[in-house]
Amino acid sequence: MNDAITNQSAASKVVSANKSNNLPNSVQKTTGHVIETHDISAAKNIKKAPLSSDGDLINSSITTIRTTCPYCGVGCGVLASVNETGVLSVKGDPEHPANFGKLCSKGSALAQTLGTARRLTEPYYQNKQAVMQQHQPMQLGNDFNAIDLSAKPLINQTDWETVLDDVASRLNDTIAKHGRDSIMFYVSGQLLTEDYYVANKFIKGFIGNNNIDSNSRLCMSSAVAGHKRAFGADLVPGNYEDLEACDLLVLVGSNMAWCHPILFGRFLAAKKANPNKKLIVIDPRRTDSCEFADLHLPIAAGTDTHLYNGLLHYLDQKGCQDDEYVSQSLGVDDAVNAAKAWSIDEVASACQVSAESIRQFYECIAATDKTVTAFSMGVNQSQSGTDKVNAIINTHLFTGRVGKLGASPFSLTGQPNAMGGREVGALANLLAAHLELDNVDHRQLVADFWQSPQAISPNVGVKACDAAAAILDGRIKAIWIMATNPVVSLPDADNFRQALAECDLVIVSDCSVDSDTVKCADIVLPAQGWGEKSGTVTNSERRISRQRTLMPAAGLAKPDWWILSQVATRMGLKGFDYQHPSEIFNEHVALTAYGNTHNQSPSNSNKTYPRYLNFSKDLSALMTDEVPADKPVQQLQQHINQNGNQIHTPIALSQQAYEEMLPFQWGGTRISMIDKIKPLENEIINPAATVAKSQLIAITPSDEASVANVHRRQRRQKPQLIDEHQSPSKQELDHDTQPESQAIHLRLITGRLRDQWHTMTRTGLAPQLNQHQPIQTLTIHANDAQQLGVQDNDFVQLHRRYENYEKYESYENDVTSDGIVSDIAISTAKDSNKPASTVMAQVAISDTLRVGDAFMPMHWSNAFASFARVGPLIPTVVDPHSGQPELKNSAISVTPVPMQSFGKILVHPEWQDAVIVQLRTILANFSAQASEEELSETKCEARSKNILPEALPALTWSLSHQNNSVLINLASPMVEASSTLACPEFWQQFMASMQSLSQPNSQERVMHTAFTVDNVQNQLRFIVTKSAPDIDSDNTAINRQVSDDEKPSTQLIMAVYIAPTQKQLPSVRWLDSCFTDTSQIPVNQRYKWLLAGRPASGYVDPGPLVCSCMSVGKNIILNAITQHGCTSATAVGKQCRAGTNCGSCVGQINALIAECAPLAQA
Amino acid sequence: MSLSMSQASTTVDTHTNTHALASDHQKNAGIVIIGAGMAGSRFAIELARTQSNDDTARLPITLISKEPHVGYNRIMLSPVLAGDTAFKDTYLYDNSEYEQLGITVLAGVAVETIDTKCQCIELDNGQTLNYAKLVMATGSTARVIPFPNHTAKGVHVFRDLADVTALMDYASQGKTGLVIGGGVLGLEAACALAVQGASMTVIHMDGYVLNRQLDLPAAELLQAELSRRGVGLAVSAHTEAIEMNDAGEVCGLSLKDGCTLAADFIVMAVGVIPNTALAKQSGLEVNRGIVVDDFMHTSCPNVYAIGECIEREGELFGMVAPVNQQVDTLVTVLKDDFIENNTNVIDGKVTVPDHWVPFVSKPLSLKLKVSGMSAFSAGQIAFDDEAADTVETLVYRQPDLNHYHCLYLKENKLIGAVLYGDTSDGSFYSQLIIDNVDITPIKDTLIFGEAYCHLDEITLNNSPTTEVGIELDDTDKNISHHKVAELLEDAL
Repeated sequence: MNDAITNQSAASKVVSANKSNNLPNSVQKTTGHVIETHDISAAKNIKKAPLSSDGDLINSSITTIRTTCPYCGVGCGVLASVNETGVLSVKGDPEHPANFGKLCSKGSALAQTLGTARRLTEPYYQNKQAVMQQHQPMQLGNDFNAIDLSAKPLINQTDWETVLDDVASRLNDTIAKHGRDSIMFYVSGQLLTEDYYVANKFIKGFIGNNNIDSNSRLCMSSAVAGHKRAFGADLVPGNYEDLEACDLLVLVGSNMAWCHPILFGRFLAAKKANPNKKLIVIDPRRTDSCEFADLHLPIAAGTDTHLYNGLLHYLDQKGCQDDEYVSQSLGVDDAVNAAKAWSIDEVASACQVSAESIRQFYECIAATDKTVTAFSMGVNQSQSGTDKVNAIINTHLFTGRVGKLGASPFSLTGQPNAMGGREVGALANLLAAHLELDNVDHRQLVADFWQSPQAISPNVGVKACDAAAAILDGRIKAIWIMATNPVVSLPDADNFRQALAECDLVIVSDCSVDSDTVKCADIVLPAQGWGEKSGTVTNSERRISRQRTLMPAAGLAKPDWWILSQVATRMGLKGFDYQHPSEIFNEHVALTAYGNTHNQSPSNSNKTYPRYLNFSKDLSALMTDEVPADKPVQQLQQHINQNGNQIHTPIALSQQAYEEMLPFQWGGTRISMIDKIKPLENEIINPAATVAKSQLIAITPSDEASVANVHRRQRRQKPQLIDEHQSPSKQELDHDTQPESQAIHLRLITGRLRDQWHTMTRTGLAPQLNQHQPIQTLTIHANDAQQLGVQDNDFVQLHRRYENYEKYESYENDVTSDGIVSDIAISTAKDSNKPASTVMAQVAISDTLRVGDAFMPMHWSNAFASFARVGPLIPTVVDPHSGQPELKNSAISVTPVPMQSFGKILVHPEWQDAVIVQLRTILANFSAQASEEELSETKCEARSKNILPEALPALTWSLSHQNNSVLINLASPMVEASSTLACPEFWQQFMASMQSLSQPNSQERVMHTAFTVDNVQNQLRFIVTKSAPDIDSDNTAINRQVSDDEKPSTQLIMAVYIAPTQKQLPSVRWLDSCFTDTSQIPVNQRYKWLLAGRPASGYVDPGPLVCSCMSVGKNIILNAITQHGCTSATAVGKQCRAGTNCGSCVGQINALIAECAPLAQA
Repeated sequence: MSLSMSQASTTVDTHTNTHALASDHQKNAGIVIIGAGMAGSRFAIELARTQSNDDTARLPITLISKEPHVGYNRIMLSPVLAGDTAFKDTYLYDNSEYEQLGITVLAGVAVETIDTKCQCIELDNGQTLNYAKLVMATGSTARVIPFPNHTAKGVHVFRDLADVTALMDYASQGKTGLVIGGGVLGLEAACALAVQGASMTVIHMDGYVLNRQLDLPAAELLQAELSRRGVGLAVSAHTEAIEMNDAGEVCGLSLKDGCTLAADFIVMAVGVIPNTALAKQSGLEVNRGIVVDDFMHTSCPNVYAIGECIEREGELFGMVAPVNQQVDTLVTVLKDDFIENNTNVIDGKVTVPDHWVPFVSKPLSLKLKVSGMSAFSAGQIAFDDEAADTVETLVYRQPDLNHYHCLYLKENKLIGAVLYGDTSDGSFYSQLIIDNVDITPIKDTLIFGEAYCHLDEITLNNSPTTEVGIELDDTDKNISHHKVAELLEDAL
């Protein structure tokens, strides 16, 4: 608790530092002096790393701005430097208490993801049906001619005035017509706290429903529910420092090495300093985190509760309980009794791991007081997520290992501001400021504060996973989606997409054109992205940091809070006249203090509204004792003096103070978990300490916990709803005729990749982040691959597995039943007759998976691949307490897809969209062709003759951004499509239509093509170049018959490679470099080099990228190992810099060393 | 009519006549070569060089040339006609080299008769020469098709310097000319004359030019290029008759379809015929050419034949590469024949000395020699429908540059190649065709040329069956057009 005192004194230092320096903290003109920055709540003394020691920052023309990384929940501080020409570079902020200067691969690549490329820059209306059709034409069974794409313009640009007025009036109309409950907001952990706050206030306080849910529902709502059950409040029991201070770190359902790499790095550094520290990983997959683990328990997916019940039982048997703590906790006996059934042998059998390793794990836990259990999506994203959380917390409460340095359960949040959403209550079952939605007094308090025109609704709003059903059954008529891509991320993703297609009004605010959800909007609003917007975010340890503006907004993009406030105001609502995010922040702060009985000046009211955080109180730590004259505190009179009551005037930050705000933990660094603990003198002790009563929860693991979820389908057909174009037999075909002989059944586990974030709209722009895994893969065990008859990189098709759903009628009426609600959505007759989306991936064989498990990343969307979305495969099954869906345990079947040909297209980024549109058109054409052919044959013949399932598309593709070009990988399972793709005439035609699509004044451009073709092998290479502009404008060059050999430079536009096998396609590294510069190629060799995909000689290919941070390829590392004798990752790092930054590739480097060791010895 | 078989000039280059024709030649019979074209002169020089490297005794060498100009590169006549090259630059060897090597050169002299029994020859100047070994290198004659009025004034062939001189005269006056035969020589002549100022049109029987050497896409590119150069082209055009005015001069050409084309002169480029009259009258076995075996022996002891005049297993040879091979073969046969007093001449049963290198006919390649136009072909490039199904083609095209490469593969062996535009890899492909190796390891990059293909990869996979000694560089530089002529002969 002494830490808090240190913190407070540190806080005063900050202010004085700021007072002595008139420059705002956010914008540091580097002058060569040490920049004075201090952290008010760092748990220990931070080593000051003077910025001047870094040569980069000495340059006086560079402006450096402190901001916060927008990726995972670690919330790393970033120093963004903008030079005179506006070029941005980023590095870790050495003084940010989350990362101390480190950045992971994603954070390091932030600068590559900014700019205007792939951005939404103006508001527009969209012909939703047509765009959706164009964007994903491969909806088998659809009639491709049904929608005439040329009938209406796809997009109609508009201006803010028009669109804001229009949105306001349409929302008002919707309310008038369908009632207040017909509107829903779907918001995101990507929003800033200020955005979140306004959205929440807008809908709960003014529209008058609680239909706001965040994508945090998919992320950590089970942790929230678990925390509330265990502590009575959504508090954060641990800190990052605990990860360094513990003697044992247990990772449950967390690939921390990839998903929270900087935090993992902090633990590893501590472990390196003290090798006695232990790491145990509990994960069905042997992830990269296991590389550093002393023990890995590959338990069967879903059996965490068995394991932790067994642990509680073991701890009880071994007498490990903390008597004092246990005596003050509730539910201890029930929990211990519930756990009694779980002997080590029982657990071993349920978890499908050896009893010995379980015993080892239990012994280690029993012996180690300083244990931190960090858990993440593997725990949360489960139908029993909340139980898993509580089963874990139970063991900590039982042993008193909670809220102590180095001993705590700890939830790793996924998103940069998932926590901010919790704080402002922007979820359907939360209120605001940690007040309770089901408490009438709390609702009243908030309504008073907001001066809402009507009472806040007591009903829990529509949650994320219920949204599709609510739209499809007509409850929701208008939905506004902000900063998230649910068409990709929700389970039953296609169902949600269908819902958007049918919804009267879909508004999407986003910053990226590559969001699939944007394609489903009637109205698209351009929101500011990272680096443009300004506000606060809260990380996993509840540390608030500022995201600051680094650059002007792209085009007409606006902050989300502004868009919301404008619409609210135009709807005639009061209280949304914000001019600056600091006003919103202060209002949020004021609400945390409003009526908070733990304020120094208690409310006059008899009612008490105790709650966990009083931000206003904490905020005082940021202020000096007296208000300085140059920093007038804004008085929020309208909120404070309402109802004539004199309430304590909360301290509010001036705009400047807000700008200067340093990262700090609200609620103090450490929250005491037992009310009995008395605060030390002068310590700011969190109010939650006095309300939270720790409680153990009796957990009864489900017998079926490890049984993979299946989609449910009613047995009965509803013929009246069947599309006339589809004959029943066709539907049966699509649904039921998976080639069972070749299919194998697997359990699908989804998750993240090291270098990608969410649906790749941002990380997908960074070339180096696309190197790690540029294609959608399905990782499976070698045994399964053998059974399936596939090898690495072979394509497979993934199918949902169904079970017949006979209880349809009874469930239909059971709308409010916990966890079952969402099943209605997929059980509507309409939906169940729709064929499922095709999903394909390339096999990656790995012994990191259990036999029967399959892993597929969740990142791919339609914008980046044709058939690689994982969402449609996942049935909606949610946790009854948290409403969080199960995303890591879905039943699928997998069939091999023998490909006839493969292809790579490299295309200049300017032409990317045109190529994709063309590919989609081809796909549609082939599909139409195929279905015609199919009609001419009898079904039986087709089925008996054709090994391939009918649902196979003609073509599948995925794209990834390279440094200078966009790489599109193609594959086709169809013979006809393959021979078409190998025709140069086809690509000449393709080029012509592409040119007319994207270059209306194409006659000004002189395009050149070159190709090679092999008639037998269906092998084609095709190059498109454009003369350099200076040549184009040179009339003499055009008039004269100029041989290209004389032309000084050529712009490469597109390079196409088609071959029957993947290994016949060239490596792309060198080719990519040709998109900026072809001058390296001798003029007379130009086309040959480009067609060959490599220079004739003398070029060393660095190979696939292993270290994203330092851009080191596999071949370079192998060279370091085999040629320079490097036998450790450190040595490799010294030799070629690989693994020296974020270290998340060290596991891979070690694997390469291990691979080469026998060779090196030989 | 001005054919190449004009009577020998009486002038003899002074430097070639340094050795007086003494009667002691008859006694000191040596090696006599009839014909100082590309085969004869090369053989004389190569043999003499080989002998000069030996300190052993040697036979004197006598080279007899009907043309006054000895040992010039006939292929270079096209650039001479186009004005790109001076005639003096076409000599294969410096004239002093003959003297230095002790070769007796008799220029402007024709051989009247050969007495194979007495092993002596009689010259048209009345002299007789004994020989120990006689080498026939009498070459070939441009073919003239006897169309009506083919003897009219203004009907030419394109074979020797005299033809060049005559044709340049028309061109410099801006006359209108027709070339009958869209083969290599005909196209070269037409382009050269167009450059020199004539208005030229090529008359070709088949559907496209160079139809035996190029495939259709390459020929189309070539035809487009001809058109850009102002050379007219009539394909599938069959000559009916040459039109002649009252003065006996050419005034046009009528086609079988009834069209008539005006012309001031006509060049017939319709192939060559081996010069075999002397051999025939001397009793050598002659078919279309002088029949030889693998070691260049004719049917008559101590008489050999090389070059365009020979026939080997029914095949005639019009290209430099095989002719040079024949020269090399014959050098191995004759360099020490004398010393070993080897009597095992032809009758098929005698043992062949180990050091004799047999002549093996190789697939031929072709290169068009027109400045700014390059076309190359090698091996088999035309297939009937059935064969076409089993042939894999690798095509490279760059339409803007008019580059076109097509490789023909059968069972993973390169069997033919057509290159248009950029022919720099021609020799590489020729070699692969000749070597008949399995190119599987380099198949994916084969089309990009030698720079992309590691030959060690394919030699690993294929035991080298033929060790080929031909010098590809020479092949490249001196591709003969005669093959075309020969093929055209068949076509006509």
